[in-house]
Amino acid sequence: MNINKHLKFDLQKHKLENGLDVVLYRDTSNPLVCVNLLYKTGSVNDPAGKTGTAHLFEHMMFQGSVNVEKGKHFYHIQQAGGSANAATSYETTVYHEKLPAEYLETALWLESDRMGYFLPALTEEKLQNQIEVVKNERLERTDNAPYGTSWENLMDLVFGPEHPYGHPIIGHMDHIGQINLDDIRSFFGEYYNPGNASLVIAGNFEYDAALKMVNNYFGEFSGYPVRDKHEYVPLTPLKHIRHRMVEDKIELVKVTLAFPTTNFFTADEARINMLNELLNEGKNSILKRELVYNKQIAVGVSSYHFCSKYGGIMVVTAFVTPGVKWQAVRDEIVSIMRSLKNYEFTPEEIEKSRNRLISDFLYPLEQLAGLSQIFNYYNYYLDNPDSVEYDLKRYLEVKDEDMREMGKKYFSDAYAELIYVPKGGTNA
Amino acid sequence: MPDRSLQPAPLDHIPFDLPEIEIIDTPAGNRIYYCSQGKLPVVRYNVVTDCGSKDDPAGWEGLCNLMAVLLDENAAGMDSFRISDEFAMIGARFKIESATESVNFGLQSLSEMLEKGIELMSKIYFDPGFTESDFEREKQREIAGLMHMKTSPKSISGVVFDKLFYGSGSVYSRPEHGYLNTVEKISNNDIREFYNRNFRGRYRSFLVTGRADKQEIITLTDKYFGRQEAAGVTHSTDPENTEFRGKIYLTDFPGALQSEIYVAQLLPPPPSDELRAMMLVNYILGGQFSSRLNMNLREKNGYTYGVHSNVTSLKYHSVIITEGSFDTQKTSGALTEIISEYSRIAQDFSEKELNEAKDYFTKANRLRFETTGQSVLALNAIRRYGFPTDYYKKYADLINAVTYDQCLAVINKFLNPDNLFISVTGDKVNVIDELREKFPGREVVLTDAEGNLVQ
Repeated sequence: MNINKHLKFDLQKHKLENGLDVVLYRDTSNPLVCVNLLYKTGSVNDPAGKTGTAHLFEHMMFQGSVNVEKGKHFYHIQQAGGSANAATSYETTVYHEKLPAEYLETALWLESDRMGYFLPALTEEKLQNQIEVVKNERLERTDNAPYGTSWENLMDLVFGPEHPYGHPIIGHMDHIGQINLDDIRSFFGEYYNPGNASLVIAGNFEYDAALKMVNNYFGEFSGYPVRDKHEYVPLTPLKHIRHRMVEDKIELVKVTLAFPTTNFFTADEARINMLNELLNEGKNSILKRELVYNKQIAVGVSSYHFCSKYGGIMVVTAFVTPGVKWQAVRDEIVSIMRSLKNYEFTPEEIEKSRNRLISDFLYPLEQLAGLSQIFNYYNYYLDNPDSVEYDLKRYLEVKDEDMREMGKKYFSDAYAELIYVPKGGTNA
Repeated sequence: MPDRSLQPAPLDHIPFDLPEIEIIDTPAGNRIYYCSQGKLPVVRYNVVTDCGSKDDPAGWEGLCNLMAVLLDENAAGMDSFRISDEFAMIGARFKIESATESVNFGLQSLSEMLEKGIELMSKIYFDPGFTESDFEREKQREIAGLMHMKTSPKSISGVVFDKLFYGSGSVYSRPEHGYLNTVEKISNNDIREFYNRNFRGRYRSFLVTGRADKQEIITLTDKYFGRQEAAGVTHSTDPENTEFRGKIYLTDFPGALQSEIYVAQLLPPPPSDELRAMMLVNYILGGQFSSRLNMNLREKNGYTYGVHSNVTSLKYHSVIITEGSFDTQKTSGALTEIISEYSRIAQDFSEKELNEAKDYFTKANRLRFETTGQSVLALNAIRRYGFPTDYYKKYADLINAVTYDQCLAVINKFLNPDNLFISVTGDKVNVIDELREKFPGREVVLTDAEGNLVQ
């Protein structure tokens, strides 16, 4: 399958005098435009004892600015026929809008107003309201959901509370209520400026007109670069197996194993991701074939390579078949991971993984909002938004001996195991 | 420097024609809903069969779903590994989904690999193996899934809603995955019989969009899916049930930190002038972030991460459902505010709000065909509700024709607080007294996790 011609994009990249990165991608196939504004900050910059600050701050950005009242950001986007949202991750916070192309200026007006005129509109009442909203968000997604705390437990177990990834993005419940107006103001002052942001506009517009609009709305703000507070320190290998057992209101025992790996966009990351395709994708993937089909000791299994700026882990999660001991599932996963250093990949396995990967790159390109997000991540992590082709190429260059090398390098040593068992059960 | 005090005026309107939709009746009697679109060499090819959990016999809930799960575990002599690998080899994604009214085969493929994908689909469709070993394994996995669902307040509230909103005699009350005791008694023979009686010969439609040559689609469809007779007349099944009026159903989930609240009412099926008016009303009530419900319960009171109302349709009816998760301590307060919003909209619904709702729907309609996935949804609506092929081209006219009086009429007809279905899934000991105190006109009725009434 040759899809290379579909991976080439006619992008323009500019930098305003205040440091704002601007990436423009013109696509006139539909009458729509997507705006994606990435701030280079996330939960890694939460102040000590105030976990959840970056995420709560994202909520506060929808509480109004000098020229846009509380609640009106969504209102204006909806009235244009569009949609908007935002997401906080460990090291980025992204705000995005998708709307009919003739309303591009509305999106830029809204985003720039809160970039430049957020603080005067900030009030204690708005903050207390959003603290309650975020507490409910945490209840809904984490504390009142089966296995809801498993990711934060896993990250704490592997990375430890001092690591930038060691606390939950949404924050600990008792910290969320402690965040005050001064914390919000400080966070804004430190991280929210054009020199620490990257703006992608994709869709049906004229390049010159769009750039002029961006200059008009964002050019007046002063910007400054923000230095990273953290640096990547490899975790591997763990000295010994780390174990944690959690009782939860659940029926099925869940076994999660995590193996420290590498950080983002390294050669090893692509090799591990390729290996993950073989472990996880499809019914004939190594993990599903052995645990769910052949041995039937798990009713479901999946693996995922979390990999970002300050570290990575390969995570394998299995739901244990009722009546089976969780140790048997754990042992089988460990055995599979240990065997990867000697695994003889068949040509068919390699080919199907490559083909699946190619289609995984191609299908999301249909959607302009997803594409603008991809451009912005490449711009942030690689300083080059036009990296789709490069990114795919590094996967296609992976050889089977590279994957065996990954097995030897990352999956032969100690790991962290997190076991969720039913409250009051006899599974321990 | 821009004038930031006002929203900028929009740029010139960009002319844009929505893609043409065609209904093609093939020489072999197959009906294809077709729309050519996009610039990437990808196709979506869906086969929708008129068979779903509505066809599960009473007491055998979960049968259709388990059959659908088993279809691509073994077919035409290929085991599940081989089937999965065959799709992966051509870079295609394939999945089978069972719903209330349909079983959907969904294929996403590169255009150049489409024939191979359709051939594989047809083998799965017509020649499933239903082996004993696959059956036993997948049944145990379904049972495990049901055990898991019983630990999720959100899943429980969905099952309870189906049973008590529609009434236990209705085919719509049957949860797609069934109940533990019904799935446990299903045998592989039941699966085979269900397949032969309810699936294999049932009418199937084809939804095709993307970069696909029309003539090639016709040829491939007839070649691999063969001849079928025109769809028979299906009869409307009226799910009207009023048992819930005057009640609050409470499902105990001890220790729950939040309560899941459902508030619902039955609506007519599409196409319907009343339904169109209700869609506009819903935009104002709870259909968007800045709608009344969310602005009150989230942005003013902080009771929830979010609350929304949605209008959803099946072939013979629609429903408006307000749904949200609320801090346990705020349960009765949240329900009070939800009901007050239902009351308030009848009193102060304005022409301005109606025009804003119309603005949204007419402008958003132009973004409806961006991806092949979105187009499949549009094609499926045309199939299911019998909309004309130019429905979306005339959509703005239909929306703009709705009057204020029509909206007021549907508000008064369908959103009367006294007639609403209400259910709460949460920690009984923490919420029951306040519910009784705050809603003295309603009986609080306790249910189990499957919606059965308990003493």
